[in-house]
Amino acid sequence: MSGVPIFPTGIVKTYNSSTKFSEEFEPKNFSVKKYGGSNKWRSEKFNNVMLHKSLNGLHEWVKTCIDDYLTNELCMKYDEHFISESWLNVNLKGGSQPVHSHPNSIISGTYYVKADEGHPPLEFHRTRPSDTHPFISLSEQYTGQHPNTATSIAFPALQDTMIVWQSPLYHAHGPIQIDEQRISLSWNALVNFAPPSEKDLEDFYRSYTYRIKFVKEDT
Amino acid sequence: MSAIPIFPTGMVKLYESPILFLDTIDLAKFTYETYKGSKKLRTPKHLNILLDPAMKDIATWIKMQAKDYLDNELGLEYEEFFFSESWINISGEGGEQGIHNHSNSIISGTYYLKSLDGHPPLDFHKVKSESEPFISLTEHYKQGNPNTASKLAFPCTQDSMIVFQSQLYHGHVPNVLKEERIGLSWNALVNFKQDDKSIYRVRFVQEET
Repeated sequence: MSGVPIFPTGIVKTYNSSTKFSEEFEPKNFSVKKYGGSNKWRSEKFNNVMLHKSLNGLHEWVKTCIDDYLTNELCMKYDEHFISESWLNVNLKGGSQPVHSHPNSIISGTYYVKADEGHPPLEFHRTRPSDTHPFISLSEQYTGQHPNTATSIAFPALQDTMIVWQSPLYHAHGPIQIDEQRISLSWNALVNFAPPSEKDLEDFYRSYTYRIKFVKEDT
Repeated sequence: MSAIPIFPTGMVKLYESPILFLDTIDLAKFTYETYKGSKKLRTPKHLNILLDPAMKDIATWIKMQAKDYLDNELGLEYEEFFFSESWINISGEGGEQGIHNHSNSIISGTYYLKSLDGHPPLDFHKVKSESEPFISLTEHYKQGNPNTASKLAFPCTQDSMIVFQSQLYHGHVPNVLKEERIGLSWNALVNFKQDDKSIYRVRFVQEET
C-alpha cells in the first residue's frame, strides 16, 4: 500500500504511567451504584471523582497527558483545560458498555485502575453519515482486514495505562468474560481556547469565530 | 506525534504515467460543451470517452492502475470493474470546479493530460454533518496537521493520475494561468463477488457508450 489515508475520524493515544496509580487507589473513598439496564457499577453522576484529594497524583499526571495530547497530537492553541467530568466504572463479569460517544466535551480518556489479561479491549467504531440516499456497501467485500478500511479498532485495556481520544469518537467494550472485576476511571475535558492572534484577526474567516468559554465546576 | 489516526475518510493514490498520453490523443476529435455557471469545457454527458477506440492505450493504462487501487489499496474481492463514465475537462483561465463528489460510482480518478506549474491542485475536503450544536476546533489549531486538516491538496502534475474513492469531496480553485489545464476524469463501477448470501445483492450493467 502506498496510497495516502486522508481525514482520519480521530486520533487515539495510549499513555503508560510510570507511577502505578493502581497501588494508591482506595475503592472505599468512592461510592458506586448500579444503573438500570447495565451490568456495571458507576460512581454518581456529577461527582467529579478526579477532584478527590486521594487522586491528586493521578489528576496531575492526567493533566500532563492532556497537555501533550492537545499540544503535540491536536496542535491546539489554548489557554487552559480542565476535567469537567470523571467517573469510576466497576465492571463485574458480564458488564459491558454499548457504543456511545461523549457529548459536551473536547477530549476524553480512560485510566485502567485494575485490569487483567482477558478483559475486553476498548473498541472504537467508525460511524457513517446518516444514509439519506441509497448507498453501496463495501464492508463485506474486503479480502482482509486493514486499519484504513476497518469499521472497528481495538486498543488493549492494560492496568496503569490510559487511552486518550477525541470525545466525538464512538467507542464501547464487550462483556467481561472473566471473574476478575475491571475498574477504570474515565474523564471528559473541556478546553478554553486562546483568543485569536493579531495574524488571525487579519483573516476574515479565522477571525470570525463565534465565542465560547467554558466554566469549571467545583464538583 | 505518536498517536494513531483512525478511520480515514478515504484513500488517495497518485500514479505516474510512463508515457505522455497527450501525444497519443487527438483532442479535436471530441466535441466540448460549456455548462451554465461554468467557465470550463467538458465533453458531453453520457459520452464515455475511454470506450473510444482511439483512447485504447490510455484506457488500458488507467485500468491497470484502477486494478492496483482496488486490489492493493482497498483490498476488495470482485469479479470485474468497468468505466461507467469518463470525460475531459478543459479549464481555461478562470475555470474552476466547485466542491462535489461522484454519485453512482465506486472509485474515480483524474489523469492530467496537460498541466503546468501554477495550475491549481486537486483539493480534497473533509465533510461534516451537524444535526446538533457543535464545538468548533478549526480556528484553534496552531499549525497545519494532516490528521486534523479539513482540506488536503494533491498536485495536478502532467502525466500523473489521482485515484480516489468516489464519495470523497473534491474540487479546485480557479485556474489563474492563461494556459489550459486538461484533465481526463473517470468513474468506475465494481461487480463484487457474491459468495456471502446474507448481503443484499447489487450488480451493475456496463453501458456501451
